[in-house]
Amino acid sequence: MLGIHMNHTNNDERMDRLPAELATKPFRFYFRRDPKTFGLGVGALFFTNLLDTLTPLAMGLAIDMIRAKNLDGLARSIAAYCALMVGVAFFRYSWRIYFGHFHQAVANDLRNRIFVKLTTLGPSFYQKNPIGKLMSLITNDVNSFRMAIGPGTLVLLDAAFLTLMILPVMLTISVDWTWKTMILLPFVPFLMQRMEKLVHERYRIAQDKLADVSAQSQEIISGIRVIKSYAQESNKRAAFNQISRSYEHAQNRVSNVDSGFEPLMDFAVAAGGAVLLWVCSSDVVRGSITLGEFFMFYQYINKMIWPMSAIGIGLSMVQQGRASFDRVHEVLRTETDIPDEGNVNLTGFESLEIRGLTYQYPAGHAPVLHDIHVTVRAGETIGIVGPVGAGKSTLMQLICRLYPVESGKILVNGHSLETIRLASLRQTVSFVTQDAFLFSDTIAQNVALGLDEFPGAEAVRDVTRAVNIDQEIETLPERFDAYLGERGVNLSGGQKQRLTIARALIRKAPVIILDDSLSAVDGNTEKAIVGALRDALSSRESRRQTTFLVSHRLATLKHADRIVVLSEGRVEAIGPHEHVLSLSPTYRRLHQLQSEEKLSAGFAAAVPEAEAE
Amino acid sequence: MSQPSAYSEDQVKVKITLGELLLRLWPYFMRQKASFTLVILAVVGLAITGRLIPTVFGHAIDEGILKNRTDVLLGMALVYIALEVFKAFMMFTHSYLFSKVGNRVLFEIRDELITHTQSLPVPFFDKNPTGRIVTRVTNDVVALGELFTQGIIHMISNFFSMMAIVVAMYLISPKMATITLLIAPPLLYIGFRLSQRIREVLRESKKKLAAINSFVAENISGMRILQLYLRVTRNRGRFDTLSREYQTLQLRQVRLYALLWPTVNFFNAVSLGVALWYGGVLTAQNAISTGAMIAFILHVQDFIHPLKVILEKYQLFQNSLSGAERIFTLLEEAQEDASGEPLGEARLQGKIEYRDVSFRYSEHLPTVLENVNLEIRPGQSVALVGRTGSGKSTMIALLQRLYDVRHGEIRIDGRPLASIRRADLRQRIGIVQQDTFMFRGTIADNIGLGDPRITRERIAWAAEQACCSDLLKRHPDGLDAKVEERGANLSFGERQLITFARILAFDPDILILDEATANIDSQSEALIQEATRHVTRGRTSIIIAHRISTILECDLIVTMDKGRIVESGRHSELIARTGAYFQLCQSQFRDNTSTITASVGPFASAVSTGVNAN
Repeated sequence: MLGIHMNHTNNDERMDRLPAELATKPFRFYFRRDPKTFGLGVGALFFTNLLDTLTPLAMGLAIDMIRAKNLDGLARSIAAYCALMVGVAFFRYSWRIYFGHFHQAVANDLRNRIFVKLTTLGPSFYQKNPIGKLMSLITNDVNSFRMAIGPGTLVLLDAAFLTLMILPVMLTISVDWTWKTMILLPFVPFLMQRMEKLVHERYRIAQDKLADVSAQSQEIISGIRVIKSYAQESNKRAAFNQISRSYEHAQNRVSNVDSGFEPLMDFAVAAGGAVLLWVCSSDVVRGSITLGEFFMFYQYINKMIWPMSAIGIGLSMVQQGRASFDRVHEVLRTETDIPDEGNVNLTGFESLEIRGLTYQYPAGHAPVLHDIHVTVRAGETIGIVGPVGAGKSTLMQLICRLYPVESGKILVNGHSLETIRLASLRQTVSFVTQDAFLFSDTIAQNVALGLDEFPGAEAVRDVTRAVNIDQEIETLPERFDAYLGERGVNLSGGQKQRLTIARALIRKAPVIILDDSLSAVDGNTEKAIVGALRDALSSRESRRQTTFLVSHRLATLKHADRIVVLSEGRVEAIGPHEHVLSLSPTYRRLHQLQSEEKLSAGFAAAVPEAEAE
Repeated sequence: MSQPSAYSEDQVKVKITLGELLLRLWPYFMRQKASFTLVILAVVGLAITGRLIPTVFGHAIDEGILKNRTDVLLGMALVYIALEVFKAFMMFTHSYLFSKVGNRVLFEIRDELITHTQSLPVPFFDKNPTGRIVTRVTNDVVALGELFTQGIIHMISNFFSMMAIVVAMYLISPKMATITLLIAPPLLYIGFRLSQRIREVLRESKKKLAAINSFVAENISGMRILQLYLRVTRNRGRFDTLSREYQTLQLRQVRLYALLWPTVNFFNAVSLGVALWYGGVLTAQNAISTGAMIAFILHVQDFIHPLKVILEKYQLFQNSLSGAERIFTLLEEAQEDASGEPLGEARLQGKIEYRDVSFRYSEHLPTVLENVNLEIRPGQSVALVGRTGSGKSTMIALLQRLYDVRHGEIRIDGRPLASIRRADLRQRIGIVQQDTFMFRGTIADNIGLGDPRITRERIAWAAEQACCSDLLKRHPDGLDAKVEERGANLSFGERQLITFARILAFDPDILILDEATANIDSQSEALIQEATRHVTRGRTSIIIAHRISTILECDLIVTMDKGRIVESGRHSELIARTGAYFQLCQSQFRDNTSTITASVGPFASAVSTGVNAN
């Protein structure tokens, strides 16, 4: 309608790069990015204010005409008043539209920048930044920045325009009245800002208390079975109410300040009105000022209160927006520790060589891997075993370059990991992580996650058969189209794990890593799946797939070509089962323990997944 | 295999409008009569003061300015300021007091929710994920609270103000008031129509925002997978689409607001024009005074603000309504029936009988237990073994009265289970689940659960008995060591031991133990075995057993298959019989059959033979 183009995103621009100006002067960056919409908005705002400032003149004139009993003049001044109001309505509509487009586009841009940035960052970033904080960045902080650059800026401009227009008019009517009635007003912005800040602080406290309430109810509801079996209901209710009450108090403290805003603003105008009645008397009585002018002046006093509170409100919006932007900036400027700067494209898999690899997590106290040397050739099945904390998972994650290799080298087909295109590396290596993470989507879509195009129902069925879950899926009402997650089907841990393996298999990558990915299924099923995997893979490819198998169950690993025993971050032994059994004390101990447990494990196997569900 | 989760909670059974909601909240308000009455008084006072001010102003013009009387003007200035002070005070009072009343109402609703929730039957918690119930107690109450924070009171008080304005206008000149207000109906119509459309768009954009939130949450949690499976670019695209859709909805909102306010303002201008013209005519005829005419104009000017507030607030309560709907739906959920006789002080002997028990979870589901007959003597320990779905879990669920038996009967000490009050029964039956739940707090809190009857000494004693000594040494603060949410800082084995200590502290008459299947290291394993021996000693125990060591120590082994008891007896007898139990063992570890057949002796020898055989 007003000729606005909504889409300002420049497609050539790389969203994961942070423009220098955005980093230092975010407001200016966005003003410059779309000066036309912003400028038109400011222009419309200016005219709205200008016409609005003129309306009391028309009204004052009308009143003088009434006093003079001049009905023609009255009709003319009313016509002028209405014409002004039509203009105000038009310009007001315009600036709302222009500004709306401007700041909504800013929000969209910033949201996308954050999301794109997040997709480039590796696990070490996510370990430091809890999900709640990142979520709040995309919703709350983007919104608060939008409020600052949109309504906040607008309100400040509005205040500036109005003040600059109204004050001269008032001064022309009477300098004396002006300073006497306006004397209190400069305090208003100051007070407003203080109160805004106070509300903000108290609000934050209340939010923290709310989080406590939420945590407490979470505890009660998750522990409901314990509470019920020990008849602790009233006990827990009292504990809950204590927290709930302190939230109530925090809320009251917010309302306390919050309720003060309107009366304060209102009173500041009113005081002006009373002062006017007080100071005007001599002038009006003397006849140096008409009733119309007096009324006009009264109207202007009323009009001045908004700009004064607007300054306070606007400043605090801009401040909050800046603080929000600082938090956003913190993330936007984070350099990924796994930059995708290599240009080698792998064609198939020939060898993996780990040379003198030592790794310490950024937040860790000591290295988790020490001087690892391992060479793996295509087609091998490598078992990896060791106690909790031995570094098995870290090693696997380093191979996939989820973390950067800092000391030592990992070479794939002779190329150092950093020189290989990330996409190519991950096309070559299919990694099944420990936590069986599935997305809220259908089973079929989850399995096909890593493929560019949906491979067809048959292909999905095939891989689920390989991991022995196809029959269980068939029992679901919607089978492969069953939706997973909160509002859909809830799978058991073992079922999830098997699906994540299917998700890896369907990619037909030359290398597959199973990082303890069958811990929630029983030993027999694990053995069966691993066996089936071996068959499926060897029959499909002429050349066998290379497999890394991290597991606690030695029975599963027994048939690996070689077993790597890790202990406290060091390789204790490498070789076939018999070999490591004779060489590695860790392996021997595990072997002995598991033989004892066999009896019990047998019964555990009789109850595969958590039956209690 | 788990069933698809029920959608029950999403089906809101209670649909309400704003008026009905206020009616429903009425009893809560009435509990704070004094504050509430003050609020109402302040609202009325505010509306009246609001109208007195322009009247005073008009009076000042007529009697002061036009009659050249300085003393009247000064007097009016004083009255004016006094009225304004009073008005500001009323404004603060009604808004603050009402928030306070509201916060108390919310407190009471939270209390009611948590109390009610705790009294719901256990199957309710199987059907509804924890997160969803927590949302009821927190977010939905917050949403309901927007009613207070977003100021429904302002809507009400502004409605009163508007009425007062109309009255004030009519008091000056009924004719002028009628003519000026002619424009009100179309204005109200357009205003409310636009406001309704804004509400629809708001609802849609909220939904979209929720979609963005869950998309982002999921993508962040699964970021590693997205990166490893090269899904990043595609999801960036999806995010961009979502974000743009949200932007479009936001812009639609911007446009509606952009239409709403200028329209309202324009109508106000027209009515002011009409008032000025008609006022001019009347003044010319000397029908009304100039001051009255100006007061009239001020009233008309004031008309717009309350209308704006009402239109603006009107759509803010949608959240509160849907929050309230979900809250009341939960509050109407049937509580667990608390009937039955109390158990009294005396301990139970622990004799348990299942008589011809058949059970299915609901009419259209298959039978899970068929004609089960089992007698457990006081103090006996019984191992239930069998494959998944053989009915073991149902056996213990029925004993706890999580579900009621329809066919057949269960008796404890000869008393029918159905006649015993659930709460009493559960206090006497201690249960250790596979996944042990830990509360945030200290280890001592988790043993004694903060129950005042459980003394510190008893906690310490129970901890020692449950083999927790090593565990307490490992954590520097001993019993006062912090336990994180869900016991995240404790190992699986440690959590098990603490649960055993809890059992010993509360000393139930009957014990149910659902043995964990998880692999634990051998040292914890030994401790757990030791502790198991302590907790089962001297009390009737039913154990869903997964470890041969446990099974071997039980007085009776009950083998279940497809909802029936197929065999029962001691390990040696059952092995000798080479029936279902023997097959169950054999199918699990073929190479170890010799061990099993050999292990007729005490537990220790079974293990040693097992090791040697390998």
